[in-house]
Amino acid sequence: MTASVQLGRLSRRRTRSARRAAGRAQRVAVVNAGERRAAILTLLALVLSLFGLVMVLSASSVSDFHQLDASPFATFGKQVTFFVLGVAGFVVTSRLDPTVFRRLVLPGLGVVIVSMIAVLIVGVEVNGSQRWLRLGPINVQPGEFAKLAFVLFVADLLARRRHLIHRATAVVNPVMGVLAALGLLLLLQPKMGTVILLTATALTMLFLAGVRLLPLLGWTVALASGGLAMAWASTYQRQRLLSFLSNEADPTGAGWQTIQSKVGIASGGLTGVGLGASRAKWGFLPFAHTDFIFAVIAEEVGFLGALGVVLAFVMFCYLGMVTAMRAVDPFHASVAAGVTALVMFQSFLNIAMTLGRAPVTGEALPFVSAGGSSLIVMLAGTGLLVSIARRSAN
Amino acid sequence: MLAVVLCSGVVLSYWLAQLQTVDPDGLARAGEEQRLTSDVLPGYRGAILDRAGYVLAVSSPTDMVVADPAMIAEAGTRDEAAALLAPELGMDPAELAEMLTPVKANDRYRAVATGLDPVAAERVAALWDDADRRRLLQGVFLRSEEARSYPSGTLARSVVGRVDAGGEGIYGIEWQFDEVLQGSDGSVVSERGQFGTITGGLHEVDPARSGYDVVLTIDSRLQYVTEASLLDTCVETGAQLLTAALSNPTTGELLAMATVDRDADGECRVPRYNAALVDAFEPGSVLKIVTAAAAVEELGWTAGTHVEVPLEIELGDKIFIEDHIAAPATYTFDEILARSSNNGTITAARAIGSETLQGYVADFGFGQPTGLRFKGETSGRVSDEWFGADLGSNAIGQGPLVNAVQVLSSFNVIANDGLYVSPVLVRSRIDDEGNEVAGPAQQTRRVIEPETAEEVTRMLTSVVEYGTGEAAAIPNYTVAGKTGTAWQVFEQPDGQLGYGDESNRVYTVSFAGFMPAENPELSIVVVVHEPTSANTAGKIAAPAFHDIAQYALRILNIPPSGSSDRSETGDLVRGTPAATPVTETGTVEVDDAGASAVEAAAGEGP
Repeated sequence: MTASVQLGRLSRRRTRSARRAAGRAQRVAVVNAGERRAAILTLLALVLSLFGLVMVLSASSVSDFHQLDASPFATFGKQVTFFVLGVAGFVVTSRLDPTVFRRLVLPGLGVVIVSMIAVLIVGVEVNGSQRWLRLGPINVQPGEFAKLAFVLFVADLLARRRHLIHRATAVVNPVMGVLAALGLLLLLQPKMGTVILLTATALTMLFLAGVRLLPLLGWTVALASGGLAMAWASTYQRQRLLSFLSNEADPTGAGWQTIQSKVGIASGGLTGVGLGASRAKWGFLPFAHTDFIFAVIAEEVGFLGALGVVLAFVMFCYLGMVTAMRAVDPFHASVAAGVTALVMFQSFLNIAMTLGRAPVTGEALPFVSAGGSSLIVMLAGTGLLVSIARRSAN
Repeated sequence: MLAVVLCSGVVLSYWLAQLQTVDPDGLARAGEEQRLTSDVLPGYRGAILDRAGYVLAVSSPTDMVVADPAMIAEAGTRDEAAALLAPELGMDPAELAEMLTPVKANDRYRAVATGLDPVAAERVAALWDDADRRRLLQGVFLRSEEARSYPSGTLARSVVGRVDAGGEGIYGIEWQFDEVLQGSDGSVVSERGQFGTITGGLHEVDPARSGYDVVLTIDSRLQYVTEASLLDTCVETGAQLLTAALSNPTTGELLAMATVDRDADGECRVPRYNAALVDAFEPGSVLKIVTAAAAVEELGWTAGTHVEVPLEIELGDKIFIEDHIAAPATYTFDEILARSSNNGTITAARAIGSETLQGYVADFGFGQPTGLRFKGETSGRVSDEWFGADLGSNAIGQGPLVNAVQVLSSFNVIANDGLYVSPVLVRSRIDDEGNEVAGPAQQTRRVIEPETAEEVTRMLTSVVEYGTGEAAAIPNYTVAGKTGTAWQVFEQPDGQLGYGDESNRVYTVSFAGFMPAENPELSIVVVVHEPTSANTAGKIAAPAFHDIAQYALRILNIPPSGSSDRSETGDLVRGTPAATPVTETGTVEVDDAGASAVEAAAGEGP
């Protein structure tokens, strides 16, 4: 109950839940509540990542072997490597006080922007979009690192200018400026999904920090319509959007992925077809081990298993938000809110996409999908959350 | 914000539950449908075998190259495809390119090469290994097909039959037993994706069933000599159509059934149709055995019974003239058969009576289906009610219509101690696991008493010994048989149907008989239509019978009359006596076969 009184909307709620938590702490209470949250968050991230490894193996081995003529463990092996790197990142970020990263915010953002420009020039093109930078044996996706860099940047800004929170020019405009720059670079790749994510995350962070609703709403409407207009201007994005609106109209074309994803999920039924027995991964569902891994999960382990994954994300985000509320420092609070918003929006967007309820954007399922940059960023972000939770009041 | 998190979770869970547990659009079913593929497992047509298992018709998998000319035209790869394929198929590239060109709108099918042998098929298949060539071969496909082959060529063609291009029988056994021979295709239903057959997916095999093999009673060796003899006879006699059938009189099994006719150019050949069953003709005097048997059975006549033979017999509107004799004579009954006396036979028939004789004609199998159910088979025709001259005409075989196998079966009654055994052509069928299923049971009935059969046999041996059938005699074998020389009905110059007169008669001559008369093991019928070199059975049909019989006895290893030693058969036919090895000490050393010869000789005495 100390330094966090001025933390906008987070602080107001905090007093109420703090009373409840205090009561709980008295009853249970040997272990610090923050420590417990940190432990559960760690466990959830670990369980999701390990389950992700299993599902990546299941979803990728068939296409590795039959389509790429590679070892059935090729993708899995890479993912294990990234997992190890991600755990390393997690260990680092979870041990350090996130405040130490404040000094790195601007250089970090600079590196991300430079590499995103580099991507557009020398990047590796995969499936019609240019998102990857080749770094020795691995491909790095700067767009993923941009998420974390952006969250840290916004959190730093909000923390530094919290007394100016009601002045749009001081807080909202710089955030929107950086967002616009990143968004432009992302749209050029193109990577619409990340733009949406960053926007939603930024708005959430601003909202939770106490920025007035009205200008925020204005920005939201402006961004949404701007985004739609840009999407419409690009044939690629337009097709994806249109196919989302009616994928049955063109089942073999742009709607194919969504239909196959839904077919896979529907085939899973209540208890699934069994681990490893997905049919969708046999060439029906493209990107089965990356963007559409949730469909393979739902098919193999059924509604009960898929529901478990959804609940894991709900629990993770819930604890993430609580962590943000209990944070002792405005920067901590914003970072926690940002990382949580990122995980929440991304997982929601991804799962809704596999269910045919959101347009197909190339966003991975956090922790689970194959993809090194995403996994490392997510585990490092979780490290920040864990560190903040440990340092929270209770 | 916490509420947002929880709401999001609830919304996702609801959507998930709806799709997974309700599945309103039936997507799970749609997914199954898109994965299920069905492949045909070919079930092959059964073989047709002779009684010894010798293959007369067999199916084997081969490959064919087919093309979709429209698709090739669209891809614009015609010349490249032709250049790739031509050397492998041994064709001219330009000609092949021509074949691959569409000749009409939406021209989607061309059989480019059929019946590829496995080596050629493998070479052609290898063309598809390369991605570039695969692109050039768009619209060209390698398919497997089933090829029906007849290793023996035209041997027994009219019996075995043939299949059409679609593999369905169009005549002969191929037609009659089409459903039995035809296999049923099976299928493999499996789940398949773009990356191949899904491991652990559904895999249901409905096995293919190959058709039954059909085993005929035909003996290919006998079939061959029968066809060869008929071809010789055809050439020698100028006949238009010849048919012959061989059988085992005891079992009714048809051992050979051959037809020879003349093609449009007048050349003798083995045609497609099986005249022995399909063709009805007036048999003439071979039918006299029925009257003879009835006379023995009903009147108690014997070979030695004396019968008055008048020069003319008037019956109804007809006068039957005996043209071999100048004055009325008295013949013994066996002489009547030996000389094939019409009026002698009619005299016997009159003594028997119309109704009774009619019963015998039916009992001997005339006018009745043989039971073979061969496609196109005729039952012949015997009029139901006999008026006036009918008794005489039927007694001498002029009037009723019969097929050659019916004649053979009637002789088998005599050979088989008076028992009618219906003929059989299919011995058994063998399923695809090798289990043999016997054919349907044969029909048997007693027609005459064994003593009657014995008496008629005695009379029939006279025919060969000194009568009209002398040319059928075979040294060392007692042959019982009967000639038949019949006039055939044809369209007269005045447009009426009739027998014509001496200037334009059309003859059908025949000889039917069995041997050895004491213990018949082989019966043969030979029918020759419209010979030109002569017009009596004794000169045309009996020699043909003799030729066939001589070969057949040797092939079947039938011991000569008065001997039961099969080892002697070959020697007798070769005309040299069997030598018994005698050792210096004077004891007789015999092998197993020799032992039975010695015993047989001892048993029968000098």
